[in-house]
Amino acid sequence: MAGVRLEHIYKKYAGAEKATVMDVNLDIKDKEFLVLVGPSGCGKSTTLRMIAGLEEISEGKLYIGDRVVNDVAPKDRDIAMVFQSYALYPHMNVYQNMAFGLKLRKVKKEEIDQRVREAAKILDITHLLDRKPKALSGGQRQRVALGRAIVRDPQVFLMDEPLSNLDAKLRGQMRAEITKLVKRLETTCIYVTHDQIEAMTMGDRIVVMHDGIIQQAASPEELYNQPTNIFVAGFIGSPTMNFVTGTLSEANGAVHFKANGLDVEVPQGKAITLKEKGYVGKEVIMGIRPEDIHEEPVFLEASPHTIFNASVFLTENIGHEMQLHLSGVGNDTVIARVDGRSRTREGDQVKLAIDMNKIHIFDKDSELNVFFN
Amino acid sequence: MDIQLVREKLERVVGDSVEQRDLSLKEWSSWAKAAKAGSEVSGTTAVIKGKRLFIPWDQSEAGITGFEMDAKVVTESEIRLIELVVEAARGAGFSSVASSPGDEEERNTRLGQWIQAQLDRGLLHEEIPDQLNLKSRLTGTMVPFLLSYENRTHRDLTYKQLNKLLQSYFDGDITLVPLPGSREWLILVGESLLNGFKEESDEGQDTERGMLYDLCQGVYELISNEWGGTSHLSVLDPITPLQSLTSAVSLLRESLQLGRLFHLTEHIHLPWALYLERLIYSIPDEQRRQFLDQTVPHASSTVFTDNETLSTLESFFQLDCNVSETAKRLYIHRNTLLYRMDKIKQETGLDVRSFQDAVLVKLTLLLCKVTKRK
Repeated sequence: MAGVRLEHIYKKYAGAEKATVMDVNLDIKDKEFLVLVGPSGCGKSTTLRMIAGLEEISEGKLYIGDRVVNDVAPKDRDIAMVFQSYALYPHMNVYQNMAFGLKLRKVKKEEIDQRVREAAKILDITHLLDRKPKALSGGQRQRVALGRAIVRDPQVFLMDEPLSNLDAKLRGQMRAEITKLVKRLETTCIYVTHDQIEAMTMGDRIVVMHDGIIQQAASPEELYNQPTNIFVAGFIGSPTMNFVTGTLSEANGAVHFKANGLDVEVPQGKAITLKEKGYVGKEVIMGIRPEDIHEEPVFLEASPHTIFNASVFLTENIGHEMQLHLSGVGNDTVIARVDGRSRTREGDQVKLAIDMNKIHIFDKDSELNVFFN
Repeated sequence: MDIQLVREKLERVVGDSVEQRDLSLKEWSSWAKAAKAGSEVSGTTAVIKGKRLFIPWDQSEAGITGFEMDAKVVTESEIRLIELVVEAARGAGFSSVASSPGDEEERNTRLGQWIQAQLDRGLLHEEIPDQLNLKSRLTGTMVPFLLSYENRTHRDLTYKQLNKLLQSYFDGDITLVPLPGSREWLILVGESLLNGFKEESDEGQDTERGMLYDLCQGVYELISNEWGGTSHLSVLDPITPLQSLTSAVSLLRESLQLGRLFHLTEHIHLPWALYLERLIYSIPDEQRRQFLDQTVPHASSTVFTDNETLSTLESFFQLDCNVSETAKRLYIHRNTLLYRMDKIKQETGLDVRSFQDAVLVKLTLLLCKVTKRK
């Protein structure tokens, strides 16, 4: 097994004005499960394809283990790939599909047989070995594609949206299975997805990309609780973080955040940072996660300086939680996530309070998180 | 054709068990000696030893592979017929199997040059001449694939590398023809490749074409995963290469050209999926521009140059104008998709949810692609 290192990697297509991937630096440790996540066109797949050798690297160095592999053909990189399309060879049965890569590499028949049967057992597809791909369901095909990668016993697994073609239920199942599988095989895995739930649940570390640039590389917890900028804060979390533009001001020794329909006190610890960095008196963007807005009387009682009033124009009850869509705060809709048993209804005027210890303040120009930069 | 398939067919025809047998050269020589005195034994002749009949199929340095059966169940004339059938099924006689890879490459390169010469002269229906010594190999119907491969990082593919890979993929039964210019390869595969599939399927041509697409996809992934680089593939329904090889190459090339022009991100370009593109391409440039100016005056607006709008529309048309499926494919909410469509309607006056307007937008998109490049 091996780690993967990307040093100042760039990808620029001929004729394109701007690079698709810019100055990517990543050190992926041996046996690490790293997830590349970001919206369409952010450069995550291109980065993976460069690691796979399917795309030429315009600039920078790529290491697998200690070896620079920029000019090494994909077959000699000791990697195995699983893609969204999982193009199984239609004229071969499952066994032949899984064995083909090994046959090409002239592995002995007995060893091929052993590896295929072992992988089939792990993936629970032994009963499908004689079937042709067209006789398989989407989930079974995806397992075969995984099996094809597993039998290669590679140093690194590369997966590009491997679950996208599956329905939601199956995707949930396969998500857990892939995580277990990669842990069991103790192989380095680089996984690309647009789905933040996949990213948060599968990765040891997540790399958020936007416009070809790495925004943040961190553990799921860190990414959620300490987003480095507005993009990451808005990308991770569902419903997304609320952003309210307002001004920080000081009165009676306390720092307040004031915006349309909102005047809340910033806790002492955060206030000190804001003062030190010279943000008092300036316009900033406050980020509040929906679950950090409360309606419980106990919380309101304990946080009298963070209370605000709003109108509920839409409620979405998901069962265990209810999402309140609020107007009258800031310039956009603010969403609060409250208990599913809440009695609040559409059209109500409500009193809510913000857990100010959990807020984030972003610089209006650079969009960076003031507390973590 | 696959040896196993031939064995099964022979078994059905003779109504008795037929075994696949590998003879060493020494064993083969003993069989040949046992053949009737005075009869000529070549690598293709059936021979009888005692009560057993052996029909050769393939020859290698190690020996001869063939079929063994009870000699009593067939008459002398039936043996001759079986010889003929086996030879036809094999597609190529022993001469090609036994010939060195270098000879084969040279011969297939000559065929590639001949095809190119025919194309240059506009002769699309000439039969392959005898002197190319390929007639025996190109009998029956075959599936033609055209592969275009380019690799800027690594060395270009060699005949030997590609032939080996494709032989493994198609299980041996292929003819690889390098076309002049070293970037294009014609791959001819015996139609038997589709036989197993046809037998299992009742859904006709659509499914067979689906299978051809999947085969192309497999070749594409295989080559990418082995060597990287950029490959594009096209395939046709089975043809009779002796008469129609040049016209097939012409159509394959046209499909690759149109596919690469109109569908930049795709790698498999199928002629039956490019009818509209072919029609558009045949329209003179001036008339294309006139059509755009008169029919869709907004074509030059940002709507048809904006990447997000383009990818939205392309997915929408690919998915037969299905709003839910398109939203799913693009990982966006259905309402976001409807909003984008309303925006297009606002800016162009065309609502892609109505058939008439969808046709116009589709044509406009294709025309924009081809006029932009002029």
